[in-house]
Amino acid sequence: MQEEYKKSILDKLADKIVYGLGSFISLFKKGWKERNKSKMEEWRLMLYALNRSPPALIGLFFVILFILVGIFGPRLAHWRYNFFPMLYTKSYDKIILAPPGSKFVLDYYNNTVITFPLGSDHYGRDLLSLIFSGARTSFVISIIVISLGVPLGIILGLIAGYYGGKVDELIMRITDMFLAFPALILAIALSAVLPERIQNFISAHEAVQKFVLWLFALDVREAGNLGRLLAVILAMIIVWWPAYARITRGSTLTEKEKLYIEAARAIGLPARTIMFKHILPNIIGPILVYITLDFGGVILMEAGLSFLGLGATPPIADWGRIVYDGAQYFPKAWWLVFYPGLVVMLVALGWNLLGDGLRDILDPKTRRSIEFKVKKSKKEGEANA
Amino acid sequence: MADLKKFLIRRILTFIPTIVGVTIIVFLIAYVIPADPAKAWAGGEKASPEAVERIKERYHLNEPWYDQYWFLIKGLATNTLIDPRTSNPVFDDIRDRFPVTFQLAIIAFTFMILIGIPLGLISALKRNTWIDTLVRIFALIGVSTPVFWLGYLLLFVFFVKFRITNLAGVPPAPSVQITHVPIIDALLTGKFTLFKQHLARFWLPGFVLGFMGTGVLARFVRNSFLEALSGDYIQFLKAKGVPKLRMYRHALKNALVPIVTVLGLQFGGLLAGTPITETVFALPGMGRYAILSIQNLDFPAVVAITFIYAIIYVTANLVVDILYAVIDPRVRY
Amino acid sequence: MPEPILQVRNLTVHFYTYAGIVKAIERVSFDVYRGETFALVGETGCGKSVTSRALTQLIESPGRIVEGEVLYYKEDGTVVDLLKLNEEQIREIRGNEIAYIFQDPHASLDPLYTVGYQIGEAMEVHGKVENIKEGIKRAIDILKSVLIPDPENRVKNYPHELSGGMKQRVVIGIGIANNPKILIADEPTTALDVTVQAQILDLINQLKEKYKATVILITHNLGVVAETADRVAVMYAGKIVEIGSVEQIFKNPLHPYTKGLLKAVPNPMTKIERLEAIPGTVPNLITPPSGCRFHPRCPFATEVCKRKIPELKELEDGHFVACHLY
Repeated sequence: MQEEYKKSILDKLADKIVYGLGSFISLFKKGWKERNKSKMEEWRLMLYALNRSPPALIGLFFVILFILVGIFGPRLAHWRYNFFPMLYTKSYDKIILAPPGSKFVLDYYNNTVITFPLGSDHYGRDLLSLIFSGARTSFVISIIVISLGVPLGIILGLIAGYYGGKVDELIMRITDMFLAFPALILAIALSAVLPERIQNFISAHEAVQKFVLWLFALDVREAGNLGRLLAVILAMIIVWWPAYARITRGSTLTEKEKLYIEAARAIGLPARTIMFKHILPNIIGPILVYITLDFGGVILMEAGLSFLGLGATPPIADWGRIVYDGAQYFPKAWWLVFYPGLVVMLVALGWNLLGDGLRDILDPKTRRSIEFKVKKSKKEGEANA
Repeated sequence: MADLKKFLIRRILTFIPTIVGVTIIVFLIAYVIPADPAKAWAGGEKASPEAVERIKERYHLNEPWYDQYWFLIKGLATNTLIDPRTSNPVFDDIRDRFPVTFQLAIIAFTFMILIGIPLGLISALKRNTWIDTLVRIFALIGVSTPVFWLGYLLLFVFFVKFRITNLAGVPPAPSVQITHVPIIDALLTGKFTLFKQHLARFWLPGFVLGFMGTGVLARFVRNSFLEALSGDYIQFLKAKGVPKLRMYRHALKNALVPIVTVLGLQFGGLLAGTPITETVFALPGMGRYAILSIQNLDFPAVVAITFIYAIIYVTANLVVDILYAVIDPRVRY
Repeated sequence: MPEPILQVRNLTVHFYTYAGIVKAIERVSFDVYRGETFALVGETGCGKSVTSRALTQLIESPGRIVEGEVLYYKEDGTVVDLLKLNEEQIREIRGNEIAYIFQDPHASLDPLYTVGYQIGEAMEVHGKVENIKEGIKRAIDILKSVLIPDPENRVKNYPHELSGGMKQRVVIGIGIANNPKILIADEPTTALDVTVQAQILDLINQLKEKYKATVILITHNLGVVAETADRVAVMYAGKIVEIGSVEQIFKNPLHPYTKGLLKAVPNPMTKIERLEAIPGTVPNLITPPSGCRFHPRCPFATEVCKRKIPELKELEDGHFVACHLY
């Protein structure tokens, strides 16, 4: 009467991933796989739970797609972002703002035929290729903002929550100062005033300049543009960390009262160890959910900022910027607004679906019911064997 | 109730350090403004070195940071900060644009509450049915849609195809101003044509701006309400023989606390979305003015506008905290 | 001749969880007589709380009342099966003729409303007062009768401004506000300090005398039972194993579980010898033991105990036991 728990393909894939990861880590930390059997079980069950939720899987699909295009986009794009077709054709007036599906001959470029599946912008560049190149921009920006802003916030939150007293007051006051501003407004103001300073810094440090150009798959001609680009990133980092400081502090305060922390202190563990090895792993769950959801938020905010004209200027490919440049031709050249916006939405949607899915997995109830089913069928399997 | 009064006083007192904090951040922003605009303000490439020097003096750009801070505070507080581009006190330039932005935010907020709260309640009462799932999807899409994209999309439908709204300027404010929000004043003073004009101009941008928050609010209302319904006291109410409707009233009041908090946060999000919305719909508000100022390197205007946005947000949060204390007696430390 | 006020027959409640069907209580039957204090005892998880809630259909999903009847003998002489009443009918009885006191006063009161409001509400929803304002006025008297000092000011207090003991008094006040015929007190003192416990029990007794009510007391504390109860029913793993008067149960326990219980707790009525624990643990109610649910832990278990469920048999006047030994 009780259904046997059939493992789907995804579940088997999940198994392979978890065990593969375990073996991988064991290459560095000997015997890790044997010692952490229960942890790997946990992960397996969480992945099973993920497999059970179609929205989460759809989200995961979009996210993986985004990451892949983010990394390989500039290669996958048929036309480079700084290639201007209008310079190579006789019909230079028709090739700009061409509707989706148009084809043109590049007379001065070996007579290659260029097609615009999604239309062309006011430089005559292929929108589809631009979207691929723009993925790299969004991807790198979101990774930098999250990987710098979030840990900053978490560390400050841990310190504030753990030490309490004056330290807590000070950090929270600073956090509140930043949180008094609506996020995008602060980001706008910062993105407006920071570019020059950053540009000066970049120009003075060639290594940094080379690195950033490489990160964003840009030609060295775009070096002068980097200040604006990085200003947006710095602005978003400044806007992003306070929220994480707040929630980490809250979780830390609750966790601090628990008995095992008191025990850790009693045996004389240093504060740093307690904070990072004990408190942090226990509060990280919900924070990870926020991070996933926030990836979508960063992409949306970045698109918003470049839509307003901040951030990188053309020819750097940026989804929001394409809309900014194309909006003046709306609604005639509707594709310049529609497609980039659609892509932004799908990526944000993907992250949000994934985040929602993760939130459900971390909910102990869903995990337990799956765990129960798995354990039961395992027992029956053993009994029948 | 004496508790409440004491709490009010205490809370309003913390308003002041918050404002000081805001000015510090605003100052930091102003401080980072590149020195070069002095040149731009003095007239661009053709600026003579003397003119640039005079600008630098006037804005105290050569002085130590604490002097500059004081200069900024004084300027903001007494509206003596002169915009180098327009030669007007900064707030004068903003004064006419402020009502547009504020009105936009209020209308978006109204949309959010009118649609979000009932939707949330319905999906709580009919949990796990198709309505619930629909609201969930709605919230998800709302949170993932870029404001500008939705704006242009709806603009295409309602303006290009159907001519229901318009994109030219804004209707004037009524002569008698009570709340200084034109659309409300128009309604209150009985000027119905003016009211309709405002409505026609603002409903679409208001809806677009509020769209993102509506779904989130609905989800939140749903979850808070369900959480309140599973509260311990609910069982006791049932044992008391309290009818269902009365029980919902109890639950709703308990759910209101987190909802009010979220509304405060959402209002901040609305404020943040005004620059984009104003740009898409060509509304002459503060947000759009800020963007134009950036393009013109008019940084004092940007600083002043950022300051105002923060003040509005901080005030909104103050209101939220007060409401919070009115509803929940445990908060009135 | 004591007349019954409540007759429970074959009450069965199951909980449908993802882990399986929990057979929380199974064919529970007992009588409660008018004017007495009836105690329902057992360890945590034996089903006594579930039983008390089931009486007025207070079971929430995933629980369901699977079968049984609860015959309630009203003042006017009519008898009604509480389990067959519809939503509105049972609501009229709850808080009115049959009132509850729950274990944790902190969890029973809505933190956003004054205690005066919540007492007044109990009266207002049953039409005993015109509106809440009236109810709050009457609440002052109720606070007086539950011995809360300074009632005029206390009515305006919020729950978090009161101590645990006072909160429980308020809860009791809500319970007696409408002169209930039956007062069901589910572990009313477990969440309170020991010093306050005695006061609360006294209060309940006083009120019972004053309002001529019947009290059903749910508890795991045998000392409390000895102090205040007239008759006792002992529950184990969702079934009633023994019913009798306090004298009968304490002086002459029949069921092995009851005997074990009394040996594990200092019994003021007999000579105290050694304290012994009952070996084993409470069974899993998704797959309860076959036959008599106590047989795995019973020192006297025989073959028939594993196969057949024992029925309640009356051994002496009013003393019932469900055990194959008899």
